[in-house]
Amino acid sequence: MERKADVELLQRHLAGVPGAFEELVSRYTDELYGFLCRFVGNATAAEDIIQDAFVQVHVAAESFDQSRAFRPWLYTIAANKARDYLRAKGRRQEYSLEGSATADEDGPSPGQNLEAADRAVAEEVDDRERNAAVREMVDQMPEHLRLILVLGYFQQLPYAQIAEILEIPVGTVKSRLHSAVSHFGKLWKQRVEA
Amino acid sequence: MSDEMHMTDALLDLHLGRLDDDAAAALRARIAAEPELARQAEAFGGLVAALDGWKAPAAPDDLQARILQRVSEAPALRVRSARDAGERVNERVIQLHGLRDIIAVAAMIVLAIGIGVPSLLHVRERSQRTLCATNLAQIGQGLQAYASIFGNSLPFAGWSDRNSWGPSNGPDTEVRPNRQHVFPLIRTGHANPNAFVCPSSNDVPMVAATGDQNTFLEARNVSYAYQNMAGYRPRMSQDNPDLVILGDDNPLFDNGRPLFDVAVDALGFRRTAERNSQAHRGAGQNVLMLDGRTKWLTSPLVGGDNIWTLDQVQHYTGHEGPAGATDSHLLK
Repeated sequence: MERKADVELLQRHLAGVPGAFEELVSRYTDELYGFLCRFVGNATAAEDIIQDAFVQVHVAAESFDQSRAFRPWLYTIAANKARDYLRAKGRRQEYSLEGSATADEDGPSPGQNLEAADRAVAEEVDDRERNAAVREMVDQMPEHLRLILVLGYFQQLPYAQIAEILEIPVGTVKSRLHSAVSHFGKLWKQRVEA
Repeated sequence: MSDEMHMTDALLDLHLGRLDDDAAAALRARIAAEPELARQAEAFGGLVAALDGWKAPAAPDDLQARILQRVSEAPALRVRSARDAGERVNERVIQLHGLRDIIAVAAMIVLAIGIGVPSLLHVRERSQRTLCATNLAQIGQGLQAYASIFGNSLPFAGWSDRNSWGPSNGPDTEVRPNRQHVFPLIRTGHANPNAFVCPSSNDVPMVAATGDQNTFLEARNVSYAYQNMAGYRPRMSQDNPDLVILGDDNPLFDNGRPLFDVAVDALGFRRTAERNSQAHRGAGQNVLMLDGRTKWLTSPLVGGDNIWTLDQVQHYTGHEGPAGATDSHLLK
């Protein structure tokens, strides 16, 4: 069966066609859930946030500019809900999402950060322990770097879509993603050397 | 950007598959030929191996069903017409703001008793003032919800150099009353048209409209003046939370037409500019702040800023706007 475009599904939903919204939910649940789990670091919260996000999509469907892509809009809503959750939880970082470059963004490159680390040591670490450590380190990152790392690295969204979600230029997306990987590299290096 | 930065960006893009085939092949060839680059690539490989090991949990089997259940319980807010919107939004407003309404009514009762049964007119004015504040609070909640969807932006209908919020002053001028900017709040189902009418006024709620309508049918469908959107447009959660963005109508302008001439009578203007809105017999004005709070002001001066005027502007042509997030200028 031909796969319908997201916007077409939203139009059909607005026209009252049964099943259209269900298809959108089916299409994006796994992807969005993965994004939220990594961004907020809490599976239970991710389940609540994804429900809120889809309710918001349903409620605001009429206002969606159908000349634009649906996916960035969905991620924008989900990311805003997630940030609300993080703020309510008292985890708000002092970095702003659209903030200018920080010291972290000017930090050493990933290559430099790992150069001193013995890769063999990293490979010896038990997978489960390593994954937990990765999760913990990502969780420690400033919100704006964590968000772009999840969007750009794990979700592998196109740069243009990330730019639309975060309302920043594509060039800033690239440099910030570089900074995020670099920041992670620094944390990883500290752990490996510890 | 340094060559090294370029290279780590390129390595990242290579890993993420963001390089085209030719660029990827060229980079792989360089890695194979240059030991230093190969060392960087190997180090980078260790880093991404760590990241790649972090798998997100699979979504619970029943998550889709729970999402759809939540959606089915959500209010149907799709707006097909203003009448439709009014009916549906009413349901939501009643649901969401029932407690606020109860508090407002309770406040009215307390006022009536506390005053010791003063004149009926006085009580009526007070209650209208309270209901007016309730309207603003409802709109404020709608603005917060709207901004949460649209990247902290307030409703905005667009603006160009050809637009004027005042009277037309040439064939190339397209009049865009400032109230048009707040209409998206109704179109998207975030506010009830009834909330835009102050009970103290003779205005009437908008009751019918076409689906593609982009502004109020008549000026009298809205009693309140909105922040002038021809200049700096404040952003929710980011700008001065005390900034006044909505309130009773500006007494110095009539539908965008200045009712004064600063050049003729500067002293008189300064006195006039400190007048209150006429919505509540000149006693004061209800206003809504950027952070959603409402206030009853007995003077248009808020932190030294006059909410009826623009800073540093004496001659108004309809093209002027605030220079920043500390300058309120309410216009209908």
